Amino acid sequence: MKQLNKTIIPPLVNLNVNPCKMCMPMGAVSALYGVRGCMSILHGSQGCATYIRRHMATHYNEPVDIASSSLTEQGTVFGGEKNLIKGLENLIKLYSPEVIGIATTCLAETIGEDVNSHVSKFFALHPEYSHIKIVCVSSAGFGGTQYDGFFRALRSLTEQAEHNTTPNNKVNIVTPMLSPADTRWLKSFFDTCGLDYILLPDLSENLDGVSVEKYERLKTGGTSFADIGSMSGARFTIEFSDFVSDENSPAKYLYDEFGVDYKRLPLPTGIRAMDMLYDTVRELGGTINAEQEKERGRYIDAITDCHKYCAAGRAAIFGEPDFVGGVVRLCCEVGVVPMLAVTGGVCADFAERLLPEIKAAAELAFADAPVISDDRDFAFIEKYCAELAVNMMIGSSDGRRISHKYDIPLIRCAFPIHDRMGGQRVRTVGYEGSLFLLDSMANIILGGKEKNFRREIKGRFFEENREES
Amino acid sequence: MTKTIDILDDRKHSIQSCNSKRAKNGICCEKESVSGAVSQRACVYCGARVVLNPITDAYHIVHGPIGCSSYTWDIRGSLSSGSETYRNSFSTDLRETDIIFGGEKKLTAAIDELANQEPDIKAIFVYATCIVGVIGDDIEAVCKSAEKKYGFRVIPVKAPGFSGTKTQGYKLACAAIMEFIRAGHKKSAPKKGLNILGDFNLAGEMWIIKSYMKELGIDVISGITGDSDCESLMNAPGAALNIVQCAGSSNYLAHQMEDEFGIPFINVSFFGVDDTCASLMRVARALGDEEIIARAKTLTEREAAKAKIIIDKYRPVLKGKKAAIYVGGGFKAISLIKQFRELGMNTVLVGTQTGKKEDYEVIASLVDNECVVLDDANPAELERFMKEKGADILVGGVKERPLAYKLGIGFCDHNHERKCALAGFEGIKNFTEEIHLSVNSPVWRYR
Repeated sequence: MKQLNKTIIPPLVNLNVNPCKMCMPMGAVSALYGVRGCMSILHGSQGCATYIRRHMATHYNEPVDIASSSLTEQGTVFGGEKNLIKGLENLIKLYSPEVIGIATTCLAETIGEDVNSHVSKFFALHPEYSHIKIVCVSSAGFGGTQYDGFFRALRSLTEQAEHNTTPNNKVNIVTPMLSPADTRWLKSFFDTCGLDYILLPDLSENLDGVSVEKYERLKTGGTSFADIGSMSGARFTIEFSDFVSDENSPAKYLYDEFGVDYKRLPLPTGIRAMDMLYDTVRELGGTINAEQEKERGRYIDAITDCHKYCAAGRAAIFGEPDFVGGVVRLCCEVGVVPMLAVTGGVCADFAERLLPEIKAAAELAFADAPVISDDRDFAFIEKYCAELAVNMMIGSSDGRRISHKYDIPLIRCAFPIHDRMGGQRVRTVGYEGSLFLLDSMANIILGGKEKNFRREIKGRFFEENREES
Repeated sequence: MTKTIDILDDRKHSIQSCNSKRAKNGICCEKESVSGAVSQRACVYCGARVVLNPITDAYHIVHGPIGCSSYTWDIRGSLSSGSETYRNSFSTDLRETDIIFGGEKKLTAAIDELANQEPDIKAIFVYATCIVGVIGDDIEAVCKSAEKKYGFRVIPVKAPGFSGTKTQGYKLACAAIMEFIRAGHKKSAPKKGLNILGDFNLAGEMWIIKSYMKELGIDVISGITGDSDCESLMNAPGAALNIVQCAGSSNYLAHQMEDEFGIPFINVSFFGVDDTCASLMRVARALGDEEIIARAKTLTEREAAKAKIIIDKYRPVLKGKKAAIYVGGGFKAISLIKQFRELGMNTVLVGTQTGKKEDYEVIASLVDNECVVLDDANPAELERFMKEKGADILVGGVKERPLAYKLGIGFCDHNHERKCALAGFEGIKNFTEEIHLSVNSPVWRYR
């Protein structure tokens, strides 16, 4: 056998070893991709935009265009106004956007750029561009993760929208980062329920395009800026997030400023979260039709079919807090024990809120004590994947190195997925998304069994081959 | 809605579309990217990291907020025959409070912790990213005192993203390598063998080139930096010759090694039949040993004959197809133009992120009148010219891939992330096959 040169770096206190998180600007521009006719510019060094473009393009398999103010030494010392204004002028010439999102980076925030004043100057210089909406997002890379950046962009969009408080009887739907396919499901779900809604952001089209005769540089899908303004006239907000902070929450803002009542729901993954969604829809006057009830029944049928395989599952779940929360709940419902639940960024009540459920699942299965933690890296995940006899990993493709090293199957279902196709089509919400996760987990156990049971059983019981146990 | 344009005024001098124009002043290049133009370039830090990262047993610590470390984790598919340490991404993960109070303490603590944890550290490269200089961290002092304390090398690479272009990062990496290998320089020792500079062993290419050197009877002292380790790098000053493949990233190092250690260098390229054969012959002649020259002749003739069989097989289905090239540096673009010609294909667009004036002069001499040449292009320009010129395939990096596909154009990944050797005679087969399978794929029929 080939000698594997394994280097195991233990988790360290002062050094992040293999990040399980990305930066705020990444989240901000991802959210801005869900706004119609929007082009983003990162105020900072050229590299930030390019890295983020590469990270997104290879996940979504879509062209990802993000401008940069390309700050130089001079801009850093004397201020970036000139660069930012030039950047705005140029991106307008190339893309003619209706909305421009300016997200700051570590550099812009550190040198104390006053982006709002640059924008005022820009409009003073260019009255001909007064029809363009500019939204500023403060997203220093050191201030949080992509998860925070995503919500902060949504919050900035709602705050800086042109509010139209005329009651419109719509329901606002706010989501964390979802795949375009998940977003399409969510839209069709609410359509079917007969609820009129405004979805923010709408990532269903712009990062999962269709093949067309004439390529459009500026994406045409997404939530319109006018619709974002109408969110203040909505009758209710559903915010699909367990962990968003009040300060970054669009729902909280709309409630505080305009009295739009809201409810936070977990990501609709698994039976209880789906029930909560169905109930909420009914409370809001929508209908759950026979087919949707059937889907529920089909899912319960499926978890019943899978339960004995799932019972052997010991999962490591890592990624954004809401994603981890959703998958943890689904696992606990079907008998998979989440041995390790980790999020890369700081998330105050992450462990506290997931603990009761995970602890109960582990106890029921007579499993070891699980580990739940925020603000951790892949060195931490690696250590516990090995120690806790994890047999499946659930998260982004960043887990692949551990998966390869320890031969633990990885269910790739979160951003970024860089070593497989279909990042844009990954399903984790709704009953279809739940079934994808369920089948993937059960099939990992079944696959391992089918592959190994003859050898294992022979090894254990057949006299001449008896292995040391 | 206002109409969009494809070419910004600020970009006009970096685009040349026919020979008559080309002749005058040369293309505008080696400049900072234009704000808002959506350049395909990364930054100074990236340039430094990609060159140094393949040093397999070194620890690469990014001193700064998390993003830069996250996006460059395992960034090159560089293969290793030994340590896997380089495949980890270490970051001091600076937070809000560090920005206010400074990050020096955190860096010191990080190095301390690593030194206490890892038994056999030979070198740490500490990359300072954008904000580190701005908040006034003196990383040189931290590195120096850590070196003193632990006895291994701790080399600062001051690479704030805004301090120039990616090219500046290459220079910093070369300076860091010099800083590291200087200690291995023994003035009186006789020089022998050669170093291979500017190959990063993305898909085993360093091993392919080394196998040719072995057949020629030439000792390879050090590969810089593909599949290198700290120990082998220290021997580099003892080589008699440097051969430089990726000139854009490694010519600075070659020049410095010539000045300080007296090692002459030649530029080579192992992409395509002509360039690979010519490079092997040049290496042999540079060493001036008749036996080596004879062996090089045998090797190149034998392998060129084999390559011809492959090319002859695919040429009929590739002949007349049009190629677009958008790559990092000049040397690769130049080789690719020739390589496409070997396949009967014409290059209709060629551009680089960091090409130099001399590179563009060579490019101009190789392409025909109709070919568009671009420096530091953006998606709008690539789109416009690939459509206008009717390109059938784009050779580039993965950022450009979705654009090519959206335009109905095939794609060949010639950058960090490929898993398939494209250099040497082995690479000719892979490259030819890849061009064919994309250009002539059945999927284009259904668009």
